Formats: sequence, structure tokens, C-alpha cells
Amino acid sequence: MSRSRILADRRQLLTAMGLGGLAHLMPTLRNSAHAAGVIPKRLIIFYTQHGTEPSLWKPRGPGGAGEATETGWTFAPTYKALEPYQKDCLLLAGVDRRSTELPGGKISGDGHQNGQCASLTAGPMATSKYAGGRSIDQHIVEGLKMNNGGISPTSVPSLHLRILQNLPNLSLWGNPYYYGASMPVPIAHSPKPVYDRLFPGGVSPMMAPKPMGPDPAVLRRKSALSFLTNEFGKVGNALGKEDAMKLQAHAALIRDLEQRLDATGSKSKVSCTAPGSASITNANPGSGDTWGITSDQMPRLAAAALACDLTRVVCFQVEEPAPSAYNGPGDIHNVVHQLPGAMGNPTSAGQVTRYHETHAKLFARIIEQLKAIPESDGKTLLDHTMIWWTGELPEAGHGWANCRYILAGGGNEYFKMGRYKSYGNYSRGQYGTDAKMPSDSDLMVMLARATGITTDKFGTPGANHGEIPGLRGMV
Amino acid sequence: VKKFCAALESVIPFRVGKQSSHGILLAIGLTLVGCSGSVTTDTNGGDESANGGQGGEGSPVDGVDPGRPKPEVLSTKSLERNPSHPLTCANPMEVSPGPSPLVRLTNTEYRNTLADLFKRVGITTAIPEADLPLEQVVGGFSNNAEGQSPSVSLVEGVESGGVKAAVLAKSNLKALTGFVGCSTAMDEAACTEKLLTGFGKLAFRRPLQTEEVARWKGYFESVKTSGGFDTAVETLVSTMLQAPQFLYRPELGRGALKGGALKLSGYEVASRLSYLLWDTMPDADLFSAAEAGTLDDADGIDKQVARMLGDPRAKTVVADFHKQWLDLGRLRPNGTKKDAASFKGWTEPTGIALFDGLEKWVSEVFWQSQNGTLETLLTDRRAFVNASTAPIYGITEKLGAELVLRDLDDKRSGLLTQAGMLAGLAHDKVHSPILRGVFVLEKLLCAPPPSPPQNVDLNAASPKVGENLSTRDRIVQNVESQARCGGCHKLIDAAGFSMENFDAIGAYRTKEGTFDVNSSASLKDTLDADGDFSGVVPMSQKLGKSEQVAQCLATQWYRFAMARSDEQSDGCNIARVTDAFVNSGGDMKKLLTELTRSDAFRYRSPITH
Repeated sequence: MSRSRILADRRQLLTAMGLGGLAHLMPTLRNSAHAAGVIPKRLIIFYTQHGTEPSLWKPRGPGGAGEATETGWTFAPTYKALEPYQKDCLLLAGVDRRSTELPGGKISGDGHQNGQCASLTAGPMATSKYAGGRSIDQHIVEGLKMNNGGISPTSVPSLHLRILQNLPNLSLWGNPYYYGASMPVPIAHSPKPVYDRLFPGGVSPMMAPKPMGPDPAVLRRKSALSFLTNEFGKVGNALGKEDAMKLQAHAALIRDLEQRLDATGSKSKVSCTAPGSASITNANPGSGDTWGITSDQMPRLAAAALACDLTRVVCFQVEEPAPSAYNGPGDIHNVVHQLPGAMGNPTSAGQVTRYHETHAKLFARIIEQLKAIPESDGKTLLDHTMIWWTGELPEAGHGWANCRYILAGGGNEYFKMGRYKSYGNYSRGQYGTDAKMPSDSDLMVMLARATGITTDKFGTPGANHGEIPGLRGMV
Repeated sequence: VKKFCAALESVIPFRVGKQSSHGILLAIGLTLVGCSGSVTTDTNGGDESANGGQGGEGSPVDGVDPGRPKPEVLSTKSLERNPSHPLTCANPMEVSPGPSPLVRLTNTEYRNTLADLFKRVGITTAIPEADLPLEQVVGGFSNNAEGQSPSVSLVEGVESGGVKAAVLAKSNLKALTGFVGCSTAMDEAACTEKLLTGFGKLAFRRPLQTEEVARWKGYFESVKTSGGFDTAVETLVSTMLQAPQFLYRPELGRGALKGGALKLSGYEVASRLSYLLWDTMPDADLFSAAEAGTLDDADGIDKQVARMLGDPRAKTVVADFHKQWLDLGRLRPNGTKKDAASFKGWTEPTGIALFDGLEKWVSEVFWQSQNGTLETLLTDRRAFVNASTAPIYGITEKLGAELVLRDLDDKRSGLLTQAGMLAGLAHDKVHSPILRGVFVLEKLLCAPPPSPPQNVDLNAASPKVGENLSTRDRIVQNVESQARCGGCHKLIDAAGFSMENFDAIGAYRTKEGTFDVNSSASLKDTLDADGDFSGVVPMSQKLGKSEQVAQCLATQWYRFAMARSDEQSDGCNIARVTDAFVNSGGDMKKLLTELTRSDAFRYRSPITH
């Protein structure tokens, strides 16, 4: 019996004795960094489509008028839903997808395909549909594993959730999240299977009553997974090199799952409750109110998973809302495509405004939910989370310069929140080899660091300059 | 004798398995010198060999397979049906199966296989649904091995699915043990053996090798020691359902031929047939045919294909193929999302009925006994309509919600005039000659235009300027006139303009707003479909007779059947399959038969470690 198993059993013993509240004080072999109540740092990526219309996004001066400054600013009216959380937000303008401007970064296909592939990998496409490398979420997942002795610290390394009405065209569009080149991370589109995966039996695996000794069912699962790892090797040995590699990759994931069956997560949580099972349902994209179901249930599942430390990385892919959800057109893309000229058309301007408002309200709801969950240091889940609102295209109208980002959360002892930082307004192709403008690769490196990962570079070689100046610091 | 045989075996250049034990493969030469009996055992009465029952009577001799039909000589024309992508066939007489990547069961295949496996052993209760991630689409098809990289959610979904299914097996233990032949008089060890060989053979779709039985038995016993027999059975089932032999279709082949290709075993062919035509595991007949060796030659395969095409499951697969080939998964949401203000009476159910009708029509054309031909697919004048879609086709008959087959007028001709296709290849307000033209080039002629230049929006509606022009004229003036666009667009648009008489929901018109419609079109740079056309009807008629289109359809089926993209080394196979398809008058069912007779389907590439 491993030491971690024994210690887990001691916690179970304390629980059985009515001393479960002391369990978080007990050290474990795994997650030792959290043993003394160190609260994990989390990351949420909130990914939307069709870019941001600058005139609707740009913050205003105090009171909603005049030019915004770093500390004197208010949200633009379209983003009014975020007003209550202004001090929890950090707005960035003038960051560029530098990775695509460098040698090796040039990519083909249309802007949406480029964006889906490049926005989170900071690198080129592998094919006309798939990205050529790992996305930042998986970079962080691997970093968290490294920090934890090669084993994921949580039972779910990362959680990928789609908020949608219709499934996107998977034969043309990929997704922004990648394990590696041409290996997209599957994204769940129905809440109920996610719930069953996170909370089998309707309770958090962390909070479920544990048997006094080793759980025979878990031991059998581990035994099966161990046997299977060997079996994959045996079958692979008889096959050719490439096929054997495919089976090895599969076996590695099985081994990873076997190890994660022991993952205990942090002991620092104050409360951890699974959502009521009746409140989580199946969604069938393309029919019914799938947008309503997924936009309500996916964020709640994400918050619960983070609170229970079942995962530390949550990635949303937010598709177009149902037109009925925002009084939108049949095809918002065609309207957005006409920007910025379309802002002169009241009907189009209203549709684009409501499109962005819908996302802002959803983003605000996620903030609100995290803020409502207390953690053991008296702060909230939001205080230990960074949320990054990004998307496939920097600008609505399909522009590629000037990414506008909203970060939200407690800063994770890394970012200084409550500010608006603009790094200028420049156009595509302005960079030279000695360009000093901030890049999205730089920001992704910083987000990884804010999640506790030691990393200096990410994406296409040459895309990183280091930290974007002026973002760091405690509030 | 054993030592002599082992030495002889090591120098024989090809492998033949025949009920051998301990992983030893026998060559036919060993049999000739009397070695066979010295190393052969048959522990469970099946066709067992070191490579999993791969051996058998149909093994090649002297590097030649007696079960292979004599290859036809390929003409130059056979290789040059597609001027954009001529085929190559380096050695027409040699077996050249092309790449043989390891294929994993698709989500549908996984679910069907699990359901059929449990039915076979007498468990009819519904199996809890496994939560599997959506598949990647590569080369147009979701079964392409290239897109089957494993993921965390796949492994978790399969584990969870296996555990749930195994609980069901445990609660039906009597049925399971009864099926494999356990009796009350039998001790647990004997029953275990029967479980492993009986259930294992079905789950792995071939008899287990001796070594495999030993491994799995050891595992079973270790679980039994701590959890008891019933729990060990449950764990065995859940583990087998996650095993590579279940989730994947490993093919080892047997008997190397001249050139290195390996002939697939009967069980491997049975699986290929079953997953191609039924999306599930082989049935009892296929198992029997594999065991009897009747799948070792093309005629034996023909018989099975004829039987299998008569099964309703084949209809589902054929529908799925067309859905993927024609990209209906993408076109359906596009075609159902229309601007209600632009199209009076349009509702989402109208769009759904258009696409349901389209899919039913494709199935109707494929399966009709006499005219299930490529030409019919492009010229048939019928459609499935209901009350909401009949007006789009100009049908005035009063109908209900049910889709019924009706004749259409002579303004329509086959696939390209089905309203679902026309609506899918359009925007929410306006039609799209560009999307329609690309479809013709890519899906029917297999001559896709190059990718658009960087930063061109593939989903953009018509060009922004030129409000006082028809869509056609705006494209000509704004797109074709641009140096970087014109080269390709003149080809694309010329095909797409043939459908100008159909608006964004597929209704016929002679005017677009105030502009007269001009549907004159042309095709060029094709093998046999070049010409100027006065609309889509004559163009479709020409495409229906085109051998380039025939090869294109054959190639699409080839990709689907082999679960991979086609490569240069597939030239001989694609040319031969197309020859037979063309000679049959474009019979689409015959095309399927020819695919299953092809070298690519019956052999695999050499295994390189």
C-alpha cells in the first residue's frame, strides 16, 4: 500500500470519527504544496467567436465620458453587466497575434480557421483545419503535472465545455484547444454527461463517504487499467511502428487515468457541493433551447468542478447564441463581416451590440458564481482564479491586429487587477525583427505563470518578448 | 524435428499460420516437410494461431495468392480519368493495398458493437450510453484513422462505458455463462476457460491466441482471488471492452506476397465487411465464413456482400456515407437557417423537411433495383416533399406533414436541383454560386480549387459592393476581376452559375429581384464533362455520364471503406474499381461489391517495426 493510500485512509478515518474538518491539515505525498492549506490557482478560458467590435468595447472615462486612463475608466455600455466586477477585471488593448507574423507563422485558410488554430496555440496551422501545436490550456495542464511529480493533481486534468445552440461545422472548423499538432481536445456539448463524469452518483468524489479501507472497486479499476496498459503494449508490439505509437499514446492516457484515480485535489476548500442532479440535463444541439441549457448549466458545472478541485483548468468554447436569445439575425456572422461599416446601420449595430452584450452577461455570471464560493482563507474562488476572455478573431470585421482582452479574477498573486491597459493601436505587419510590442504569446506565458507554471516561452519561436510590462503586481 | 522445423521456419520469407501454438507461425514449407504436426495444437477448436487466428487454408503459397482474381490490365484512360489528379500504378500485376493504418471503432461502431455483443450472449437489456467525444473529420470522413488520436475524454468515456456495461453483464451472469457453455456441473476453472474463449472471441472478433488466453486468465484469476468469481467476470468484461483488440481493429495478415503485401485473415476480412456495411461486429454467418475460409477469395466475399446489402443496417451505412460525402452535416444547419423576412412562410421545420427529404431521396435512388446509378443520382426528377416544402418545388398538391415521393418538372435534374442541396449551398438571404461551384468541383469532379488566399472569409455572403447588380454580375465584377482571385473563380463560378435559377431555399425563379437570371454556365479542364450549358439540367446530365465523376464517387467510397485518405499507391485499386463501376453502367451497389473485392480491402501493407 502506498503512503498516499495510507494517508488517504487516515483522512477517511478522521471523517468517520467526525473529525473530517481536520482532514485538510493532514499532509499527503501528492499535492504536498497544498497540504498546509495553500489554495490552488485556477484558470478559465472564455472563448467567443467573430471578434470584438472596438467601438463597443473601448472603455470610457470615469462616469462614462471622456478618455479612459489606466485607473480612471468605466466599462462601455455594451459591457455594463461587468460593472459590479470592475475591480476584479483587467482590460488589455493593443496586443497582437505576433506569432502569425513571424517566419513559420504564416498560415493559410480563412481568418476564422486561422484564428481557431492560432489564438490559443500562438502558432501556425498544421493543416487547413487543425493547429500545429499544443494550446496554452494543455501547456498548463502539463505544467501542473510536472509540479506534481508527473501526475495530474486533479482527477480531471482540464474541462472543456461548449456553450452553443448549434454544433459548429466540424468538417470545416476545428476547435481552439489542442493536445498537440492536429490533435484537438474534444469539447463536451451536453451538460449531463459532464455532470456524470464529475459527480458520479450526484456527489463530489472528494466529498463522497469513503470506505474504511481501500475501495475495492477503485482497486479493481486500477488493476484493470494497469493490465490494459500492458495489453496495449503487447498488441502494439505486433504492429508496425506508427500503429504501435498510436497504441502507446492510448496506453499513456490509460496510465494517466489510473494515476488520477488517486488524485485527491486540494484540502483547502471550505465547501464543495455538486449541483443538484435535477438541475443538469442533456442538450441536443440544433434543437430546443440548447443555448439556454448550456449557458446556464455549463458555467455551474465549471464552478463546482473548480470548487471541488476536480480540475484547475476550465475551457469554454462559446458558439453563436440562438438568435432568439438576443433578438439576433439568422446569421450573425454575415452582419459582423460587414463591420465596421455595419455600425452605421441601426439594425446591424443593434444586433452586434446585443451579440456582445450576451457574451458580457454570460462572462459576468461566471464571475458572480465564482465570487459566491468561499474558500478556506476567507476569500472566494474568484480570488484564486484567472478568467481570460479571448476569441478567434481580435476584431469583429475580421481584423487581425489589436487583440482586446478582458481578464477577470483575483490576479492569482500575479496580475494587478482593476485596470485598463492599452498598448497602442497599430496595424498588421508593423512588426520588425526587433519589435517590442506585446504579443498574445507573452500574455499566455504570463497566464501560465499565474497558474503556477514555470515557463518562459510559448508558441512560435520568436513570438515571446517576456512579460508584458505593467500588468504585474498585487492589488 | 522441432529444432529442424524452427530453423526452417526462420528462413522462410513468408508467414502462414495454421493452428500453431506459442506464437510460432508456420510456413507452408514446414507442412510440406512434416513439421506441422510437431508444433500444432488446437486448444479451443477454433482457427487459432500466433497472430490471432490469422492463418487458414487461404494462405498464399510461394508469394502468390490463389484466391486473388486475375488482375485486369489497366489502360491509360483508366489512370487518367481525373486530369487534375492522374493516378499511377507502378506494378499492375502486383498486390498493392496501399497503407493499412490501425483503425479504431467509430462512436457508432462502438455502440453498435457493444449492443450486438451483448445480444449475442443473451443480454437484451439496454446498455447505458457511453459518453464518447465527437470524432475528428479528416478527408471528409469521421472514420479516417488519421483523425483517431486518443484523448483523455475518450479513455474516460470508454472506461466508464465498459464499467457500466459490465455491471449489466454481471446482473445477467446466467445468460452469459450459459451462452459460453458453462454448466452447473462444470468447475470454475473450466467455465473461466469457456468465458475467455467464448466471450473473448466475440469481443475481439477472432479466436484468442494461446498467449492471450494465458494472459487474460492470469488477470481473471487475480481478480477472482480478491473479489470472487462473479466480480471477476464483471471485471473481465469491463476490461475486454477497453482492450485494444476490442476498441481497435488490429490486422496482422498472413503469408507475405511478392511485393510484401500480407493477405488478411478470414476474421479480419469479416470485420472489414461488417464495419463497412453494417457499422458493427460480424454476425454469426460472418464468423462461420471466416472460420470456414470462404472469405479467402473474392467470390466468397461477393456472397457475403450480397447478403449484407439486403440487411437494413446497410441502408443506415449508405445513408451515412452520403451524408458525409455530400457534407450534409454542414449543409443542414446552413440550409435550415434562413431569413424569414426574405422567404415568406419559411420556418425552421421547413428547412428540416427539405433535408430529411433530401436524405430520403438519396437513399431511394441508391437502393432502387434497376436505376441505382450515378446517372440517376444526377438526373432523377423526383423529391420527397410535404406540405411545407412542396411549394418550393412548385407542387400545388395538398399534402400533410409526412414526406412523400413526387415527380418534379423538367427544370430539375437530380442531386444539384434538390432544394436541400441548393439551400445548404447558400446564405441565409442569398444564394451562393461560389459555394455551389466549389461543391461541383470538389465533391463531384474531385478537382477542388486551391485554398483561398489568406484572410479571405469562406463564409462571407456576396461581395460588398455593387448593390445595383445581380449576384452573378457582382461576383464577376468584384471577384473574378481580381488578379489573385480570378484564376480559380472563373472555374468555380462557371459551374455555380448553372444554378442561378434557384434561390437560397432552392425555389425556381427567372428573376433575382429585378434582374433577369442568367444561368448559362460552363465546365472546362475535365476529362469528359467540358461544355457550355444553358443551366443545371444539361450540366447534370453530362456529369451523370462522366467517367471523371464516376472515379470521384469511387474514390470517396474508397476513402470511406478503407477508413483513410487515398494516396499515390492506391492508383491501381482506384482505377480498377472505377473500371468495374463504369462498365456496370454506374451501378452504385456494384461499386460497393468491387471495393470489397479490391486488393486494398483484402490485403494489408507489410508491417514495419
